[in-house]
Amino acid sequence: MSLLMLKDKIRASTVCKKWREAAKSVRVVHKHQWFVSIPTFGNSINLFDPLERKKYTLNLPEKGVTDVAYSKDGWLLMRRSSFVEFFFFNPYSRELISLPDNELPYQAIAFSSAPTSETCTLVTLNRISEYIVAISTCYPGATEWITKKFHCAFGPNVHSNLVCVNDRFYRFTSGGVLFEFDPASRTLSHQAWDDVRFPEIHNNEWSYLPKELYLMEQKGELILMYTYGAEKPVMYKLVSSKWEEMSSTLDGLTIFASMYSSETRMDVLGMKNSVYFPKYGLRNNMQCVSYSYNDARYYPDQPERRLLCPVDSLWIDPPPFLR
Amino acid sequence: MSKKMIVLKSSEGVSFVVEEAVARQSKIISFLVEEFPDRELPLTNMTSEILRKTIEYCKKHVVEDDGGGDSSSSSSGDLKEWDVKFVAEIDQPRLMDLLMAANYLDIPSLLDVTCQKVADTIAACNDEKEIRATFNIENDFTEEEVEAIRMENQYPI
Repeated sequence: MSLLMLKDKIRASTVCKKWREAAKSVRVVHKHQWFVSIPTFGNSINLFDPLERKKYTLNLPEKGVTDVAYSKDGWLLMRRSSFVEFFFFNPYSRELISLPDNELPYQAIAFSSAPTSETCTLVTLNRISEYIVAISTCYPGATEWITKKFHCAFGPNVHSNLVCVNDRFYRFTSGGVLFEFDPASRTLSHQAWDDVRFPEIHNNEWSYLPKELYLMEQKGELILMYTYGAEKPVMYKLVSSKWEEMSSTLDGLTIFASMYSSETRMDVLGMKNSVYFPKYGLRNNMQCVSYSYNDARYYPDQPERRLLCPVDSLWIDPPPFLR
Repeated sequence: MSKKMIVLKSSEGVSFVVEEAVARQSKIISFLVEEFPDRELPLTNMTSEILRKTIEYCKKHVVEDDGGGDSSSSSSGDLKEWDVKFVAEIDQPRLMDLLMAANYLDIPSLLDVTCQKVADTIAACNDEKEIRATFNIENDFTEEEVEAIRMENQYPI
């Protein structure tokens, strides 16, 4: 069964009950994420399986979708061309959940869990001025977004994406500050570290090199990844209020990184100790850009002055059959 | 130096005399030869036909250590080609028997090529009905169950 392509595997699982069990037993090798991208034109999205190097095109139920803003638990948060209309979309079940309009611009957006779960919360973050930030929250089924302004200095730093861990939303800045927003009490707090400031980020000599910060969750803990040009991505883990640089092998972890949301998985067959980015290498042979900690290099080529994560791509859980 | 020979016996009681190096590609036979030297090994769940096929495969793949120099009997590219031809010539029921034999005797390379051939055969079928016909499998799903599986796996094929 493991030798079959996905389409054939699904077909084989409808042959008889024994084959269905056999198909189930080999699913475990396919825990890796797929990535989604929205072509500039048309009414469709593309799903890519990075291991099988296969592309699937799927029509969208809505016209005029401009971008995909976040992904979690197999759901995508998408935006229509009016820029203010958000909705959730599950590409596998094709369910669509509308949300109230949000007319405020935003720099970061995230949701906590599948919109079908009772605890699903959406948060957007909008830096109004140097010292004022507006944070809006919303829930599936709500009639409006609720916005609250906070006095806080985000500064001209490089910022990470927003991520939700244990019902709190986090964002990290290159100045070494971690912001924490609690949607239940609508409070914003922050904590600063001196030792996780990234000197290169403020170094203008190499200012043309892309620098990115990625914040993600692994088993309830925060992981911070920092990429800088073609350098090795640096990984930190927040362990009891201290950022610890992670071991140089990642201990079997795979990072699926994107500008909006990043996922971590343990023991993914064929992808261990690597960071995957949702784009193809220059040779365009359907090979994902990745960094292998085992081999201490990027694949398929060394990235140059390009962004590691394209703005229109992010990762999503594979179809339910493969989870 | 004369090569050591061992005797394998099929389910019909037919004896096959094989060079030990050939037979040792099966991890099971390798183990049995060490445990029970100079004994005829009965393979009661294997027909003469399948045993003959298995031995043919092992003979092709044997690597003789004492030959010196280019000891492998074939280059790896040729060997792959040979493997493809080998499984292509076998009909469906016998392929399954051969796969079972490779599994039972623990011959990883033979198991790989037979499994690949089965996977290719499944992939070549147009629908599940054709798969059932090819492998002679009875459909034990109800119409509703098949529909449920399809619903579960709705995705762009």
